[in-house]
Amino acid sequence: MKKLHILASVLVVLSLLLAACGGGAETPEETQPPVEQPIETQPTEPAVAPAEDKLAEVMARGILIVSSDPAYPPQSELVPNAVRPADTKCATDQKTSAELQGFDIDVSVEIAKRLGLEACFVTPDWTLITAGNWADRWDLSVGSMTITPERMQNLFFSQPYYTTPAAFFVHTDNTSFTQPSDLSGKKIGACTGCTYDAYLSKTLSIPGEEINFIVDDAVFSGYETDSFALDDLALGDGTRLDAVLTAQPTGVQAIQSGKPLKQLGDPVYFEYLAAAIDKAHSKDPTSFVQKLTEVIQQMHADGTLLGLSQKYYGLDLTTAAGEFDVSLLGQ
Amino acid sequence: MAVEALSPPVGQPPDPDYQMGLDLMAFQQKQRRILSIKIAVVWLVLLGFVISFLLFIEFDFAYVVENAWFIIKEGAKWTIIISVVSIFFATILALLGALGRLSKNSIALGISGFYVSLFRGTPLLIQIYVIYLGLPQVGKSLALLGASLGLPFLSTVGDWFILTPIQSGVLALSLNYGAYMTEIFRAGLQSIHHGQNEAAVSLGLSRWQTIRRVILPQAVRIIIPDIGNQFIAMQKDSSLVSIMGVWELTYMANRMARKDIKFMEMFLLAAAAYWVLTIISSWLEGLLEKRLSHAYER
Amino acid sequence: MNAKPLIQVENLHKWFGMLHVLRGVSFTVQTREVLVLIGRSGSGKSTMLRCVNFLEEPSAGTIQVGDVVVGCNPGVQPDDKDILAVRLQTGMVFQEFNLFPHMTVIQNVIEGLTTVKKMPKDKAVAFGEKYLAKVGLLEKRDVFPIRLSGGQKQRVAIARSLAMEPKVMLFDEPTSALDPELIGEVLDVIRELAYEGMSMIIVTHEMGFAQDVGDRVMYLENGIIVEEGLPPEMFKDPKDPRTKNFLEPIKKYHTL
Repeated sequence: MKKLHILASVLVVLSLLLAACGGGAETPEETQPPVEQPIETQPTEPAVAPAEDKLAEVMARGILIVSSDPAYPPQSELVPNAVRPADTKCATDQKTSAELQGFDIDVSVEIAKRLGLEACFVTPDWTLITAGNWADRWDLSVGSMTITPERMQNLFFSQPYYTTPAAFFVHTDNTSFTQPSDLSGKKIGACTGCTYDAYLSKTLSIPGEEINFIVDDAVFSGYETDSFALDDLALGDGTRLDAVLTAQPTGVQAIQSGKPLKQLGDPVYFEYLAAAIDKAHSKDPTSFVQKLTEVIQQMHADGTLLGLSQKYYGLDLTTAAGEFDVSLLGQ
Repeated sequence: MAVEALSPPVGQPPDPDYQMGLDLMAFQQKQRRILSIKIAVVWLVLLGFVISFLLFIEFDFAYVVENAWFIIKEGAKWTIIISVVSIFFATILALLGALGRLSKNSIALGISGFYVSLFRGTPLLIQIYVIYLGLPQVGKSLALLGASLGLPFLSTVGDWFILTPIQSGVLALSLNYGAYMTEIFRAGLQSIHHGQNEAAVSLGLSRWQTIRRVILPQAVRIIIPDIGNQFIAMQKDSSLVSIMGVWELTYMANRMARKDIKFMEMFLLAAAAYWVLTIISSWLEGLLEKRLSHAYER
Repeated sequence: MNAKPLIQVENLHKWFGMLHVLRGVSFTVQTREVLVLIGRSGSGKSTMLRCVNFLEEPSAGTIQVGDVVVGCNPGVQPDDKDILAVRLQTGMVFQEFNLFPHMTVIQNVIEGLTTVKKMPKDKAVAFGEKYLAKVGLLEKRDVFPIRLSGGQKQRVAIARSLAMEPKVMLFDEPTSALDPELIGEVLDVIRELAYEGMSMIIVTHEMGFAQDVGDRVMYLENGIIVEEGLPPEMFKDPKDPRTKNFLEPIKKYHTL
C-alpha cells in the first residue's frame, strides 16, 4: 500500500515537472507547430553563448518577430477575415502583416523590409511587453511605447519613430474648463500604469524633456485602456469623469467616431515613442539596437515615417522624433 | 419508468380497475406537458426582455451578423481547444491529488495538501503570469548553471521552460482546476460506501485495484456533473489566456470592439458564444451521465 | 478432528480508540466445522469475525489461518502479503451484501478471479456460472444488482465469495438486512454449504438456524467469550447466568 502512495506522489511531481518542462508533450499537436520558436529549437547551438549576437541570429532566421497588441487603433488593430499569405515564413501561432493593420504595423513591416526580413507578429498583453524578460519569444516591440526611465531598466530603446502629444479631453457640454490647469482637484480618468497615470501623480519623467505638471491633486480614476475612460467621459459631463488624459490622436479619433468630447487646450507634454528591445535577450542585443536606430533614422530622413504619420493621423508627429538625440538615453 | 406500467403484468388475472390506471397516467402526462409549455413561455418572456434590452442600447445587429463568423471561427476554436486539453490534464491531476489526499503516506499527503492549498489559494491570473514570465527565468538560471558546470544539456532543459502562450495557459488552467477538482474527487471517492471497499479487499483486491475497479467507477458517476460544472467554468476562465495574445473568444471580441468601437455588440456576441458552448457542454455531460447510470436503472 | 486447526486465534485484543472491544479472546475452528457466534449488539462478535480476515486490524494477538500465521502487536503493522494470504483463504459475506452496483451479477462473481487470481476471462466465467448455479441464480447472470431482491443479492454475494474457493467462509449477520420472507432462501444456501462440509464462522441472530447448522456455538459479551458448547445443550441449558439472561427472552417467543 505504501508503495502505491509513493508512486502516486511521484506521479504528481512528475506530471508537474513534465507539464513544466515538456510543455510540448502536454498540448495537442495542432497547437504546436514544430518550428514556432526557432530561437529555442535550434539544437546545434547552446542558448547561453554570450558572444552570440542578436542581430546575426535574427538575420539568419529570416523573420523579424514583433510584438504588437492590436487593441490600439489606429496604431494597431486586427483585420477581419484576413487571408495569410501562402508563402509566409511566420509560424502558425504568429500573425502575418496581412492579419494586422495600423501605423505600428506599417512601421514594423518597413523596418523588416529594410533589414531584408519578413515581419511576423505576436500579440501579448501590454503588461507582458513592458515587463521585459521576453524569454526570446519575440525580438522587439513596435507598440508606440513611450521611453520612460522605468522601462529603460528592462528595455533598450531605438531612435523614436514618432511622438504622441498628451492632451486633456472633456465633455462637449462642459463650459467651466478653459485650460488644463482648471482641472486641478477634478476627477480625471486615464489608463492605469501608463504615462498619463504617472503625469497625474507627478512622477512622470521623460528623458530629454522638461515636464511641466499643470494639474494639481487630480482625483485619479484608473482604466484598463484609454477607450474605456473615454467611454465613461462620454456618458456626460462629470457623470463619471470630468476629464480624460490621453494621447491626442486617440482623443481626436474618439471625437471623429462621434463621441461628445473636445480637446482642452494644447498638449501638456510630448511622449517619444520608440521600438523597444528586451535587455534580457539570451543573445547580445547591442548591435541589433544600433541597427534598428540606423534603420529608423533612415526612415525619418527619407520621409517614410512622415508619410505614414500623415496617412494615419493627418498630422506630422514624426519630425520631433527624428530630431531626438538617442544618445541622451545613455543606454 | 411510469410508461412501462401501461401493459398489464403477464400471467396475472386482468385488473378490473385497469382503466383507472390508464386515466391516471394520461392525466399525469397532460400535467407534465402543461408544465413544459409554461416553462417554455417563461423562457420566451425572459428572452424577450434580453432582446428589448438590446433594442434600448441601439444594438447594431447588422454589425454582429457581419462579424460573428470571423470572431467565432477563430475565437471559439482556441477556447474549445484550451478548455478541452486543460480539463483533461486537470482531471488527471485531480485524481492523483485526491489519491494523495486520501492516502496515509506522509509524502503523498504533504504534496497533495500543499498543491491544493497553493493553487486553490492564489488567483489564476497570477498563476498564468508566473508560469509565462517566471518559468523562462528558471530555465535561464538552469542554462547558466549548465554553462558554469560544463553541462551543455542543461541549456536544452532550460529551453523547455520557455512555454508558448497556449502551453502556459493550459498548464495554469490544469493546475488551478486540478486543485479545485482534487477536492471534488476526494469527496466523490469518500462518498462510496465503505462496504464496497471491504467487499473488494475481502476478495483479495489490493488498495489500488480496489480504487481502480470498484471505487472509481462508482465515484465517476457522482463526480461527472461536477466535472461538467468545472468545465463550464473553465471555458469562461480560459479567456484569461488572452493576456498572452492567444486569439480566443474574449480576445477576438475585445480587439474587434476596439477596432470599430462596438463594445456592447462584441461583448454580447462573445457572451452568446460562451453561452452556446456551455449549453452544448451541459448537454454532452447529461448524455455521459445517462450512459453511466445504466447500471442503476431498475 | 485434525490435529492442526484451520483457524487458531490467540489472545486477540481490539481497541477502538479507548474502547476495549475484544479483551483477549482465543478460539479455534477445525476443518469442516461450523462455528456460530451469538451475542448482543456491541458484544464484539462481528469485530471478532472481521479481525479474522483483517477487515479490522487486530490490536494484539495471533491469527492463524491455514498455514499463515500473523502476529499483531500495538504499533506494528502486519505485512500486506500475509494479510492477502489470509484473505485468499477466507470468504466474507456481509450483512449489507456489498455487491458492486456497477457490475453485472457475473462480473461481480468473477471480479476476484480475474483481478486477483489473474484467471483468463472465459475460464473465470465458467467458474462463476458454476457457483451462480449453486446458489440458484444462473438466470440472473447478466442483470445489475439493483434488479435483484435482497435475498438474491445475498446469494450472489455468497457465490462471489465461493468462486474464490476459500478454505473457510465468514458470515457477518447474513440475514439481518433481509425482509422476513427472504431469509429462508439465504439460510438454505448456507445450510447446504454446511452439509457439503464447508468450514464456516457465522455471526447470526437466527437462533433456530444456529442450532440447526452449528457444530459449536459461542456466546460473547463485552468482548470476552462467556460460554461455548454444542448447540442443543447450550440453547436448552446454558451454564453461565449471562448466557441464560441473553437466551431467556428469545426462547420465550421462539421454539428452539
